[in-house]
Amino acid sequence: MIRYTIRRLLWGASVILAVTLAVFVLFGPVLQWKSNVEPARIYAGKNAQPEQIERVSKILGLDKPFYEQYGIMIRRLVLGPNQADKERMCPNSTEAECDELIGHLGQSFEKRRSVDKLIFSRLGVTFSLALVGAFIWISISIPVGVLSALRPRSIFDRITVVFILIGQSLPVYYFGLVALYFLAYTNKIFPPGGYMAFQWSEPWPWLSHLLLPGFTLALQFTALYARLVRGGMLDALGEDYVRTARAKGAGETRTVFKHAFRNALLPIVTLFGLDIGLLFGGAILTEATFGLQGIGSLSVDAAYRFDVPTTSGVVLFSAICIVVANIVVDLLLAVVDPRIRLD
Amino acid sequence: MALLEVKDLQTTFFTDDGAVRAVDGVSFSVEAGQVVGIVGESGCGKSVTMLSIMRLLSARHSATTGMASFDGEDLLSIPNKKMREIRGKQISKIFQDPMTSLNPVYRIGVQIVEALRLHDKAISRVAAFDRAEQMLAAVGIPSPRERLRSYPHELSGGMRQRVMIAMALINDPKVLIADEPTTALDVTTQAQILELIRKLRNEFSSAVVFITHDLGVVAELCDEVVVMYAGKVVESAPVDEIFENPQHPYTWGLLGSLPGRNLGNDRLYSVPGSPPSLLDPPTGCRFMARCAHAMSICETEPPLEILDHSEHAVACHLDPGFRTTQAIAFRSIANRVQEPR
Ligand SMILES: Nc1ncnc2c1ncn2[C@@H]1O[C@H](COP(=O)(O)OP(=O)(O)OP(=O)(O)O)[C@@H](O)[C@H]1O
Ligand SMILES: [Mg+2]
Repeated sequence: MIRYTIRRLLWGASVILAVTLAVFVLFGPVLQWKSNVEPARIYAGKNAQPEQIERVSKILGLDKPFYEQYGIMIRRLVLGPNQADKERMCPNSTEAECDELIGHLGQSFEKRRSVDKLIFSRLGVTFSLALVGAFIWISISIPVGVLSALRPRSIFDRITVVFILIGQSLPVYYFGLVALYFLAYTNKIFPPGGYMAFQWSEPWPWLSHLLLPGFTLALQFTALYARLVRGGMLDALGEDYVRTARAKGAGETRTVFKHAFRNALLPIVTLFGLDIGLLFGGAILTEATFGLQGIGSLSVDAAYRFDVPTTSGVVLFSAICIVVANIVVDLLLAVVDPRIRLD
Repeated sequence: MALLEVKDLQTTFFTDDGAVRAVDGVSFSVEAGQVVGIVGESGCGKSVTMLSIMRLLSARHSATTGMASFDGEDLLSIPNKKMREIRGKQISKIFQDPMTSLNPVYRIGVQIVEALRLHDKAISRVAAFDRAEQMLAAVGIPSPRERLRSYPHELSGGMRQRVMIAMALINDPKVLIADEPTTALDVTTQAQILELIRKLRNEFSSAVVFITHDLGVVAELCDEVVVMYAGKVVESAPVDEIFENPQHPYTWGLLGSLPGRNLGNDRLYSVPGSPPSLLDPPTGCRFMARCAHAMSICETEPPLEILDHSEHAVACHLDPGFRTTQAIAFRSIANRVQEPR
């Protein structure tokens, strides 16, 4: 188990390293070579003089050769900005001010703020949305999937299949807008958008702002997961070990949940980890539909404004989320599924 | 009355292509402590027969009629709860494929103990695990205490089948159904498992229903033999009778295919042709199309079904005198050319 853990961690680190390289190449050389976009020009503003651009170029370190820029990027990602970075980016500020201005992921062109802080300020929205959504889709899809697998071709199963098809084909923005129209504008049950931070003393405002977006986000996942749970349960129920359990005298509930369900759940856990990881990187459509200032909308805004450090920062952050989620899931699975530990 | 008595069992599967009557009027009986072999080629309904008796087939896709009385109770009509109390406690089962019959996510010990505790709520955890350990030792698994903590994938096929046997015998059932327990194993392991079953037969008082393709195994292990063909019983007799005085043309074919009973040529004798479709079985005798002695009556009239198992019984239109001469001729050929292959 320890060796397995170490191997997974090393694997994760190398994936992240590969992503940093891809991000650097895409946002550095490729961007400048293909579309004549000069990050320094954007940073310096529309009407900047050539000298200004050159100075900005120095500040950003863009005058250095690419390999050196990549080295700086990696070093800063791991260790944080060093003294040289700080002197370049925030020459006349105190340490605390400088922390606001530059972080591990560099500085946003657009907002003149540390990308770390920008992402951090959006984490609450995005994580809350992902968690509420995940809670909704898991708590609907698992019972529905299990029940329809227990009675295949029953009326319940057929209705489920229809809903799965509808759920999977309804676009998020459409469902979201319809939900907003009926549940927030015509009937003022839910707030029409925005976000309230979570508070232990009063969680309702937080939840009420997240229920509609949560459902919207969960819609397609619910459909997908219900289908997967149903299929997995059908497969598991047909397995020999389930027959063995019955032959031992196990009752239906025990057979279904202790023997079949646990096996059917294994692939779902893997997928869930990936999806949650993905959503921690921002749910662009849902955030846009409900005016949520999360990581998804941050990345869209940044992309529109050619805010290269923010965009690449968000991409890196998402990649890290996915890799971390993956590792967590792999370790969890190794606990649940003894066959994994060996290889 | 016999311990397990099956009468006119019929099992139909509802498939997309229509109703498949996989078991069509099967009768046989098992006395306490007896070993009954059920033989017949693949697809003739051996497994379905036993699954029907234990009610392990999905009620949504199949229906079973007839009677299967066990210890005076009709297994086909008792309530589910009662049936669950019988499964694994009075009637246990070992399946064909040990690789897939154990749950991959639970330890061996947990799975064996489950079989015990489902029927004995009072037994303590510790006592249950001790009992499981004893059982593992009894089926010849080395260092049983450690093995309790193993997962199925850590054991070989032969070891897993031993675990299945331990699990099946832990409640000292009255009937053990072994459905081709060695088919999925390699030859050496097969021999070991058979040896184990033979040994356990003496230690446990269970009657055994042994399903197999292998008449050699039947000869060694069984007291009674039931020969099935296309969902029906065609012959049933004490084991010596089957080998000394086989009465059904299909049984002749099966015996001819035994290694060591090679009938002179290099190739193994086997019954030519293949069994009829169960979707649309022939009206007369089901074996007719493959029978060398078929007569016109075989085409129109099904032979009388076997209901009485107290003696040698056969479902065939052939003249008993003719069958006996055939049996004698068959035996003399078979005995003459008993050279090892
Ligand atoms: N779930 C099912 N649905 C439809 N038909 C089935 C089903 N299970 C079995 N059958 C049919 O029932 C017949 C008997 O099958 P069964 O498994 O009892 O054969 P068997 O004698 O055990 O063969 P083998 O020696 O290969 O195990 C086969 O023709 C098979 O096609
Ligand atoms: Mg079978």
